[in-house]
Amino acid sequence: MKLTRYAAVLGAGLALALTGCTMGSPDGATGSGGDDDQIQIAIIPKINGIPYYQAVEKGVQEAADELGADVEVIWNGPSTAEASAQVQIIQNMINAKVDVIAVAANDPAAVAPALQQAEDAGIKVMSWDGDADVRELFVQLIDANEFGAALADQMAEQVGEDADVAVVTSTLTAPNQSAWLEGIKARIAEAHPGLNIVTTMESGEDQELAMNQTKDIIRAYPDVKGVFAITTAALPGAAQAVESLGLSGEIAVVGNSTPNAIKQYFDSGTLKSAVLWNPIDHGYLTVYSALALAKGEVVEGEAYDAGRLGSYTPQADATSLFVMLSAPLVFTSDNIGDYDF
Amino acid sequence: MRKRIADHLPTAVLVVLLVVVVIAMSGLSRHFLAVSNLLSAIQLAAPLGIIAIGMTFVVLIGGIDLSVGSTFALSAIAIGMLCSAGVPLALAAVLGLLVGVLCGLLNGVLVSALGLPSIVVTIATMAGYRGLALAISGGSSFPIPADLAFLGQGYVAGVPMPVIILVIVFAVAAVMLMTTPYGDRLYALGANPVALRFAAQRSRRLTLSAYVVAGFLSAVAALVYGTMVSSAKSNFGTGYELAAVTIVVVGGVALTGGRGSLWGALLATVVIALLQNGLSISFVPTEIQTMFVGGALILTAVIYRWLPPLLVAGRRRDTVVDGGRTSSTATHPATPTKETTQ
Repeated sequence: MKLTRYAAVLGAGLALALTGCTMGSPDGATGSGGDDDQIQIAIIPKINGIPYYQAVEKGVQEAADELGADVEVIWNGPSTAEASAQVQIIQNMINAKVDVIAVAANDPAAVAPALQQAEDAGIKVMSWDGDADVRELFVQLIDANEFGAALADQMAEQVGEDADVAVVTSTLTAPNQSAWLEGIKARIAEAHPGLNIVTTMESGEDQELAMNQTKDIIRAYPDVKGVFAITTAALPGAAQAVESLGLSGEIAVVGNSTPNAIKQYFDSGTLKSAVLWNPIDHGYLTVYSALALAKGEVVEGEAYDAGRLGSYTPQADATSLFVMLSAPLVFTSDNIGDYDF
Repeated sequence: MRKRIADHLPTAVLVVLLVVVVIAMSGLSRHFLAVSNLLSAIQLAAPLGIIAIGMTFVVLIGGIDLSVGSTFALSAIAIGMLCSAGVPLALAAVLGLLVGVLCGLLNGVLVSALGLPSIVVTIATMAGYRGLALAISGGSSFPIPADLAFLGQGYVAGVPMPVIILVIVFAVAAVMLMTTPYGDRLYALGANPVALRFAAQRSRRLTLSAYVVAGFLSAVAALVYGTMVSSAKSNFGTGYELAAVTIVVVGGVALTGGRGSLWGALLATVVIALLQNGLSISFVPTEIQTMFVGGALILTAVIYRWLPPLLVAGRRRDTVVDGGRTSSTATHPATPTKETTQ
């Protein structure tokens, strides 16, 4: 359905460009959003076309299909993970007079003025994935403490209660990773005091760098028995490093990544478990939350409907309100084959 | 002396293209023709448009500046960090512009004094300036205070400030290029660098000046953009260098130098801005928008390349007795036209 529309747009554009003819339908009979009863929800990811957001988009599409013709869901993200591209999309969604803008902010500060403008124009603004400074609701992925605790527990399960471990993260300032690392440390202090974090290395979102950093860690700290690799790129990178040094099964690697990126390391036995939230559910919940927001049903302490996920109850935070998607999704060699993203 | 068709062709083509885009986009979305939408589309494109004007100076002398996006980021970071450090806002803004000038100066020196190819120099400084921006900022974003926000977010008589700044920059640049001896010499340098090489010192100064203009205007764009989003980050303007080259080429400025007008660059900025805006508010995904921009580039390149020889050939057929002036150029469209145009 979507494809045919793009094809139509492309065709119309090409025809016009080639013939330079004039098409006199200024009232937009074929255009979008002619129907004012329809609720238009614009969902803006951090970037288009990477596997993670393709998984989110699946959930978005699923919810859109369920909601039918009353709701038009627009999914459009920038082609670079850069603020200006996202600002441009937000601005254009304001001009298109959508009802809700749901953004996964690349840079909370940079999108704030545009989001403020959206609110001033009477558009409901919410965030998901990457929080924004201006929003009425935040659909949060996961509780950082819970997530960190799950990783720490898995590590203890694999290396025992008394071992040296290391961390490969994205950057020391990245908000998600910093919060998870705090969660890991809190859980270690509370339940696994014998685990000792000897070093924490940065690897950006770069799989090859993560591999090299992991190799360096293993060489520099021969007693390290486990590596927390806490970005979707670091986990396969760390697993690759352990495998290439022939230490599969001797050094444990735990962390978060998308299943397709790490499946092979489960097959080879380097990975025993990995943690992720369910991005499909995240997309699905974001659509239902946006609809609730458009209908004025997002109120602190009052549950709203979220389709097959049941209902969610917003709670207050420092900015406005938030809901939490779910408990962490744990991949093991038994279930990883069930996921394809 | 008769102006060649090629000199007016881009403006005419772009006006036609603009009309086509406006009609097509207003067919796609009923929100397109709203004044607020059109102004907002140009507002968003203003920083890139300002950069493209600077790029035009460099391309006119036969060079290219691929470091404009990185200069943009470095200037933005400088402004953001200076503001955060408590430097008075006006001074921070001026110093940020100075950073752009220095970036352009270094490019210009490397190209003119050391005689290196501009593409090599500016690929190097593209990496260098962005690396520097990333290094000094540590990848974090710096707030730009609300007191400067009127530059990026303010309105004067209902027109967004970025649009006004774009128009002012265009007007000043157009006066420089079209009415001053400086402008004439820039065109001459691009059209016939060998002739000017005999005046080596002058040619070096001219080259230097073009890169300084490009650096300075990248910084102006950074000031506009940073205040538009109230923050500065080292990844700002990623890909702007090629977007600016696209605008300049769609605008009909010859990459070989010496030919093209600033009107073309401005019109191309507007055409591409409205094309992307119209598709975007019709909910066409970014990837498809990008394909349209690529299509516009190819389309205009084909027209600029093949229409003048066709027209000339057509005219020659009408007036065979035109004398033996250039019977060869008419039948060989592949011959690059390299004569000066004054």
